[in-house]
Amino acid sequence: MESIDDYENRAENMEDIERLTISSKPQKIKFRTVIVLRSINAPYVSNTVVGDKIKIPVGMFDHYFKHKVVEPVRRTKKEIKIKDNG
Amino acid sequence: MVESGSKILLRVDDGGTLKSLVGEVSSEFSMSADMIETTQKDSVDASGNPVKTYIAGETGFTFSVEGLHDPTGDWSVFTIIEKCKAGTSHTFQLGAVAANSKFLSGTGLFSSVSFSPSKNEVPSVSAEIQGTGEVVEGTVAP
Repeated sequence: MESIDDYENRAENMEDIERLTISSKPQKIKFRTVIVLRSINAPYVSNTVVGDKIKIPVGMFDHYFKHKVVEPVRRTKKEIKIKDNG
Repeated sequence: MVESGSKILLRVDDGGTLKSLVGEVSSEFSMSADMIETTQKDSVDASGNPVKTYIAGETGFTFSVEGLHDPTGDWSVFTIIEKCKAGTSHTFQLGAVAANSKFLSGTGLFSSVSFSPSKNEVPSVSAEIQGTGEVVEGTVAP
């Protein structure tokens, strides 16, 4: 029968294998095209000027849109509502 | 629900693809704010005792990573040394890989790198990244 120590060692090894499998796999970033409204020092929007059409990761769009740093090239109905009310 | 730190990785944006740095074993994000002292002679508490007063100043952040040497990796110690010498800035992301996981993203420069090969051990690598500008919270796209 497997001892608790053996079980814990096996669990740690499995976690290591899982971590290495995850970490060794490159992950494509999904980008979205936006227009710069304000130039700030932050990832993907540094060194841009107002009116530039740039690409930012989809997962960071909400933060920049909420702070009026960027606006989408094509806005969804939900985004139009947020902008008009914001 | 708590999450294992093993699933949270520091990765670098390499031409639109996130790649892990060295054979990561641990990573760290650290943020600090300057405290500007505003104490005056009349800065006193209710009993008239002198107290120090401050206002918040500029904020800054750093990332660091420790890992095992893997010379075949995309971002091995050799790549990091090359980028450190060139002084180029890169965008980093610290967070889990799974969809809808939160992450921190920041632009930074490699400020130090160390490589420690020891007898009968896998050589270790560590690097410090000085953040520049804002650190932004994001969510991994599904």
